Amino acid sequence: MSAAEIDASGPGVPGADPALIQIEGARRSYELGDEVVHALRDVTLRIEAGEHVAIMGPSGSGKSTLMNVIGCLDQLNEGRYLLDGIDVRDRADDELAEIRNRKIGFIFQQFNLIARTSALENVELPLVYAGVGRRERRRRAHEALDQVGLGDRTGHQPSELSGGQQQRVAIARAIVTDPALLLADEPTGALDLATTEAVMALLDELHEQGRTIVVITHEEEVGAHAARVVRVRDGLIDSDLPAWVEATA
Amino acid sequence: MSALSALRMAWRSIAANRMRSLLTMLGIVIGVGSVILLVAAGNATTSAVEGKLEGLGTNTLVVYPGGYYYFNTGVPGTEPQLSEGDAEAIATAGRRGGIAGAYPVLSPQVVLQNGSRSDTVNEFTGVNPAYLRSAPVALAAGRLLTGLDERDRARVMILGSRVAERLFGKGKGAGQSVVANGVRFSVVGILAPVGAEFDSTAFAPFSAVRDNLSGPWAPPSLIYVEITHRSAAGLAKASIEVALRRSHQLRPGQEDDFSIEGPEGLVGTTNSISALLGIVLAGVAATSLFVGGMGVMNIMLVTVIERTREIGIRKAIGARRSQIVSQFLVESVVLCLLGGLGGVVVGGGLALVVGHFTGYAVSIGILPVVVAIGVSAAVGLFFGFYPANRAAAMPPIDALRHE
Repeated sequence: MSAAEIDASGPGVPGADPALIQIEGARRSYELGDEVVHALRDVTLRIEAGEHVAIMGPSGSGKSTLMNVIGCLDQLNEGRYLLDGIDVRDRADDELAEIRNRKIGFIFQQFNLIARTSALENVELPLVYAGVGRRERRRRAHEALDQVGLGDRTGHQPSELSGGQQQRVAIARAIVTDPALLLADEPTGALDLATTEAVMALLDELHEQGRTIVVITHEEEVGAHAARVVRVRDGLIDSDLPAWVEATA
Repeated sequence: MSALSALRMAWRSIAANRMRSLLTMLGIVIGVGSVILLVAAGNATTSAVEGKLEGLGTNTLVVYPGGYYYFNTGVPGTEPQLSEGDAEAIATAGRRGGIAGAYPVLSPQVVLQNGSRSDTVNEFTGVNPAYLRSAPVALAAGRLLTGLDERDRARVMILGSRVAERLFGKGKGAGQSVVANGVRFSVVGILAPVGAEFDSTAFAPFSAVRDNLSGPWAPPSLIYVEITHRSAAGLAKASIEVALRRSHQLRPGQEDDFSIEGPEGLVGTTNSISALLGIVLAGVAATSLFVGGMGVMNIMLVTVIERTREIGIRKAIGARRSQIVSQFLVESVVLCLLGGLGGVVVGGGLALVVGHFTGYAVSIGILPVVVAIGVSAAVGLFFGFYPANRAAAMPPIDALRHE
């Protein structure tokens, strides 16, 4: 499947203006032994391109499932999900892989860099899977590393970098494909306070450059960087308010 | 994903678990190594037999005691024997019967000594010097044996190049004397090395060997028959058969108590040995490579489980199934290829060492090496397939959650 096919595969809901993320009546449940866990009961969520959204909630609220669904790592039982106008439901594994590759940049709590592989090669990896040529790959990876302020650490392996530096490499890897969405899952959960601020400042900067950022977190300080805070509880959206309203509440 | 980056990834993962990778490769190393060693052994026997043929000359037939199906029971007095009279009987068939000469050979066990140096000669040959005319030997020093030596029962000897080297040192010995089973012989000649049986042989006149080494009653171990021409082999064989059946007084219907081998007979034996060796080889190769392959599969399954999280990361950032499959396939193929290369080096090295000490000419050739390495790669593909597909089939979300 080529990029053109993905773009042509769905204009979204007829008549509705296309949002970047459009989730309607989403349900997701798991069987855990004899028990059925309803992770998402009925979630409807719309995120426009260029937004900076924090999805917050206690553990077990369903926010991780929501993040997996948004990231095309998990599929809904019911409801629908359009990502950049593409209906993600019932896609084959390889199609989902390609959608993730082109549309989403992931930032994980544990950085999730590939061990024994240089920062540069880690950043190149999404481009490798996208089939970008070596020279072009190198150029874009260097560019992305420059952008996160690690232009001088390209040859270092993850084990030779601090936590904050590793997370910045991961951010470079997330933006190197120029994705429609940056999806960060507890991006500062493994960082100390000072590094947390630096990483969040970097995300803010990326947002100011026009990127759409969705952060899943349970830390209020991290959530406070977003312009909009969506709170999840028991598999439902509890509140969905602009950050300034949250602050006064 | 480019081949180069796939190779680099595979190498990194193999190098990260050096000990484990080495142990895994060991199965393939042993498999390929034993095959290479067996190929070398097969080639060595073939070339040894060919060397023997060259040594005999293509104009020589050999008559052995015992029929083609004779099996030595070890009961004394029952073994079929040849006699000097048999040789004379064969010789009377003459040129019209395709026979140029018949020479009985005495092959006693002989230990040669020069002071403290000694050498046991496996194929000590007491033969009429006339035989040496037709045998393809060349002198490095001294002279050949002559008819006078035979007539005078002279205690003279010519030595193969290896024998001379062991007793006197390289290039020396002509004009010296040597003690054979306690009897002093003069060394009148040293043969040039021919890389065949003759190098480890010593020749002395039949009469002198009879007098001094074998004893008067020892039967000839075989009879060399010189034929008039290569194309006369069939005729000569018939003449020999007639002559020997008569002199052994065999009745019609009774089986021959001797056998005649020409060059083609030896070639036939060699071929059937080669064929047998080939079957053994294939069995050894298949078994050991299968076992080695199972080891690789085992370790690849472990690797896949160990790297579950990495697989999750790769899938999350957009690796397709085929890209994950090829990553792990390349890894198992590289592992097996390295094992195959190691096997070639180890097997080839062992063959050279064995060849050095036994004196056999060792050669392996490029084809078995290419095939061995190709088969190693195929083993890697075959046994890497299942683990690689297991890796590719992992749901990314489960893999990411894996600790």
